[in-house]
Amino acid sequence: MTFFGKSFVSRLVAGFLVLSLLAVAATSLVAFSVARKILYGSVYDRLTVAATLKENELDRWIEDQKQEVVYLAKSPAIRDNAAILIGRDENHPYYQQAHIALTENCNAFIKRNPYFREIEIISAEGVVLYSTQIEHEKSFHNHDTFFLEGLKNTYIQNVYPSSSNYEPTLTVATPMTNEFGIKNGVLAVHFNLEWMNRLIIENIGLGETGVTYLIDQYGDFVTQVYGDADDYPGGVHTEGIDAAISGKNGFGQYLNFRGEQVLGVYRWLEERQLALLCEISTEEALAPARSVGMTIILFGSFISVLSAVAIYLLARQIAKPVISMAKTSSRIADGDLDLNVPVKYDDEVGELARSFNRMVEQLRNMYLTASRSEEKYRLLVENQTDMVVKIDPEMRLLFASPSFCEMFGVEENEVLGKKFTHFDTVQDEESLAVFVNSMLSPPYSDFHEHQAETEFGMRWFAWVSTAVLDADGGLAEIVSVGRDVTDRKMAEVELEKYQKNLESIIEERTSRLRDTQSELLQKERLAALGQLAATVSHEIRNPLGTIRNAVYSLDEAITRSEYDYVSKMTELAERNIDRCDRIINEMLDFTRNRQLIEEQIDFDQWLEALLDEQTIPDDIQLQRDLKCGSVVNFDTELLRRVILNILTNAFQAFDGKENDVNRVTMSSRLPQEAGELEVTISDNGCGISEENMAKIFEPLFSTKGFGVGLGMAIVKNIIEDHSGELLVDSLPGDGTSVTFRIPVKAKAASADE
Amino acid sequence: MRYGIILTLFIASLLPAVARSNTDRSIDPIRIGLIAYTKDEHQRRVGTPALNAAHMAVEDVNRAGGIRLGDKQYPVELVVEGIASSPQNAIAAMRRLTNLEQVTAVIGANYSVDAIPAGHFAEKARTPFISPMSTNPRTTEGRNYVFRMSFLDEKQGQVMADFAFERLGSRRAALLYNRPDPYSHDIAAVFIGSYVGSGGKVVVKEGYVDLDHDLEPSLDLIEKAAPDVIYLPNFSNEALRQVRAIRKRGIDVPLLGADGWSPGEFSTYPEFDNTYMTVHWFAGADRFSTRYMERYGVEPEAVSALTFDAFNLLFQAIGRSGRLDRETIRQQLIDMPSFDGVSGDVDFIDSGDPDKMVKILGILDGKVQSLGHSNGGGVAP
Repeated sequence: MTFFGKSFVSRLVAGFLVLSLLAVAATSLVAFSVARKILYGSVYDRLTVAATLKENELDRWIEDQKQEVVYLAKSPAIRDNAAILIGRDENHPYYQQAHIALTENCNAFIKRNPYFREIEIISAEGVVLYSTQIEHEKSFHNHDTFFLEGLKNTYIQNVYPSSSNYEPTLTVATPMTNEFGIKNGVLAVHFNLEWMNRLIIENIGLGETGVTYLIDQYGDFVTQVYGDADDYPGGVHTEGIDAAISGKNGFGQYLNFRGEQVLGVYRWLEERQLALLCEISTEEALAPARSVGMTIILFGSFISVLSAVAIYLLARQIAKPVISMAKTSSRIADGDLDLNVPVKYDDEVGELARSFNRMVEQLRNMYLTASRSEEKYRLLVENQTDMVVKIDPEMRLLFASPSFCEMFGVEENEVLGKKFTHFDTVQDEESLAVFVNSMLSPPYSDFHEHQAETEFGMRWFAWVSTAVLDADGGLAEIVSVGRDVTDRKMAEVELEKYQKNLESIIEERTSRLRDTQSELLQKERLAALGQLAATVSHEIRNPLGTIRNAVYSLDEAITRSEYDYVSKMTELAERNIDRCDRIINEMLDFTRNRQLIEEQIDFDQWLEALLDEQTIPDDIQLQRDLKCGSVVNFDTELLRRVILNILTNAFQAFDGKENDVNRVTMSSRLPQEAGELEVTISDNGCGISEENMAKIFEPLFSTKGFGVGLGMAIVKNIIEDHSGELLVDSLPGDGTSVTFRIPVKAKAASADE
Repeated sequence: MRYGIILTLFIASLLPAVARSNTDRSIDPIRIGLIAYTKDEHQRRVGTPALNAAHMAVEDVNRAGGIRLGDKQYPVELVVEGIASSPQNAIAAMRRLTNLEQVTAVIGANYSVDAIPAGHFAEKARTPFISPMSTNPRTTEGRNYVFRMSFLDEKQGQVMADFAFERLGSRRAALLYNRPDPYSHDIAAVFIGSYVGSGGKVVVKEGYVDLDHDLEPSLDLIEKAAPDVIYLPNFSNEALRQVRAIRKRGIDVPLLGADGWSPGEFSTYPEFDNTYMTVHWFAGADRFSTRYMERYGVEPEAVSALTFDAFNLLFQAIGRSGRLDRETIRQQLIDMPSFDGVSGDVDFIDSGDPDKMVKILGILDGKVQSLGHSNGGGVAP
């Protein structure tokens, strides 16, 4: 609870601090910018005053020098001697004298006036006749402006590069006149700019960084160079200098020649052809504004912190009843509904306390209502016949309805804590696992039935259980509702018994039916056998008749000694005996209950050998297409009979058919997926008519004049004994194709076996 | 419909911005300054011929796509400072070009009287400066950024002295020269030294100061001394006046001049028969002369060829520098191999003075004739 107090108070204090510091910052910023604006004005004024002052000083200085030069030119000591130099030949006797006099006078003058660097007297042709610097004598100024102008009037040549050493020079030239008032020469004075420089750069109240300087029209320093002259090969170019050179006067903030921020006033002195600049570093100029800003920030921050302390104390005072109320409410939350918050103040906090107490009162009422409805609910549970239990996750009973207690003959208080399983409600471990599992996973319900020993004997119960999950989704408890389902269960048992009875009756009937069926089959077979016997009798009768006739004829022949006839007759008899024998064999084959004698063979190899043994009629071409490639288990004797039977039929299929080539094709296959040996024997013979097709498997059916007609019937029997199938496909006039398929028992033969 | 109009206006308002951004992206040209005599009597003989050649050279290079620096082609822009010849004017022009126009290099100021002070300020501004025709040694002396395309006065003075002594067989020479002019003055000094050294005699040496001075007193002296030859190493305008005055007096000895003369023009004046002069170059049937004639309708002067060469030499040096750095360009002018120009080969070997041949022309029977050339020490025919 102290945390609430702390956080409430600290939030209040922090909020206040942020707000007040923001206000302080804003105020100081505004103060700074206002101060800066004012300062700009004042700096501008100072710089302007300085510039004006310097400009006037410069003008006055130059004007003074001009007057000095005019005065000098007019002084008799100079004028008269200069006239001699100008007017006379170098070799004139007075010339040297005048020269010496000039030297004395001029040197004396220069000593008095340190601004004068050099005095020259120049002839009308521009030749230097006299100079205080003797090496300049005889040099020429005939191209120089000051000379050309000075011949006419007193002329000031503003700062220019001197023709002798290209250093910045200022020259005042004034005409010399002879005794007739004719201007025939020039007195020129070159000035020492060092003095002008000093005049300009002298700092006049512009602070530590304030500078004033002169720049000529090409951007070169006229006054003292700041830094190295080599630093400015193309002249100095700053915003102020460039503006002034282009003829503008103004004020601005820009980077100076050192790349520092300055406030500067710049002027273009048209008369002097010079730019005058007065600059002060922005940092220095605006220092007062910054100091105002800083003072406000410091003082404001101090006030803010002080206020924050006051706010802290005040906030604690406000928080106190709130904290007390929080404590009370915490206890009420723990269940003590009889508590009330003390109402100490009559302000908003007091109002809060009163509302809180009203809330507690309502809570209390709600609690009473809830208790009453719980009683009602209890009554309901206790008086119903369905059993209701509540179980904890360990299967311990938490609640058992009276109906449950009654059913199992226990008291409610002795049930609680006992395992639910104790009452055989879940009968074995497996069911228990199922039950628990269904309680732990959606849909968190279970239905199961069981039998249990009760006060009323063995009874059946059905339980519907529902899991009650806690907030984390874990199993909190289980509510199960059980119902006595003994009656339904009994009915179900009856039904089951009846069902079992019904099955045995059906079984009995079925076996009886089966017996009848086999009886019927037997009868059928006998009938067939009867027909067979009749047929066989008939068949055998014919050869027997023939034999009888032959024996008779034999007897006659022997009697008449016709021996060649004898052999013919014996041959006839033998043939017919053979025929009988064959008929009987076939008969036996058909009726014999055969025992399969299987052996393992490589089918293709075996079939190849079999075909090789056969005598193929000359007019028939037998094609072999043996691609079974497998070792199989078969009764080879039977298989041999099947194949020879079909093959014989095929050989005999060409009677009355005109073919280019009589072809019989024998093929064998063992498709792996089918697992059946497939043998096809086809011919391009006469084919089988539709009418005959239906009868080919009937015993004793034959279209030929010989044989018993048991061939295909036997074939069919054999194939069926091998669980195979036999297919005959024929188109009258086109040929016949006989295929049999037999499931193989052996594995496929591989090449390396 | 209304939206359509608004959209159109909106797009139209964007167009200037697009156009501006295009020009912003265009390449700044390489700016080269030219100081030419366009404001005085030298305009016709020196100023215009130099300016014409400069335009020709700049147009040539721009037509070829400009100068390649790195992976870009930069066009060349000519910044012309037209002046009347005077040291102060030349200084002002040079400083305007270097400090205010901030050009990459300067060409021009052909008279030594101008080139000497201008050279000082080119040096100060560390901007390469080529004076095509200034022959005075002081122009380049002790300077790193100043170059010329011509031979020096010492050579032409000496060659003319040799020619006068050997070829013309003269033994008595008279001189009339411009005393304050460093060009005229210094050639005269060299000639005298060389001629006297060969065994000749300088009978009269008249220096004048004022251009409009009275010639007669000097001519009186010269006539009285009866020289074999008269040397007039002065600019054309002065020489014209002097030659006419001399011939008027009936003095018909050979008259000698220097590169300041204009042989093409002078050959049309009868007074100039039997005159001889040292020159840098003379227009002929070469390609440059032909192109110049086609363009401007007049024959080029020597200063045209020298100016044309100066520009092309500079373009080559800038191209070889690979960037617009004046110091690098200066170094390239020194380092690059011999430049094959219209006026001959130019090669700066650790100075701004090339070793160039002096050519001698004579005007005989109204015709300009080449009388040989010399690199000092004897004249080859």
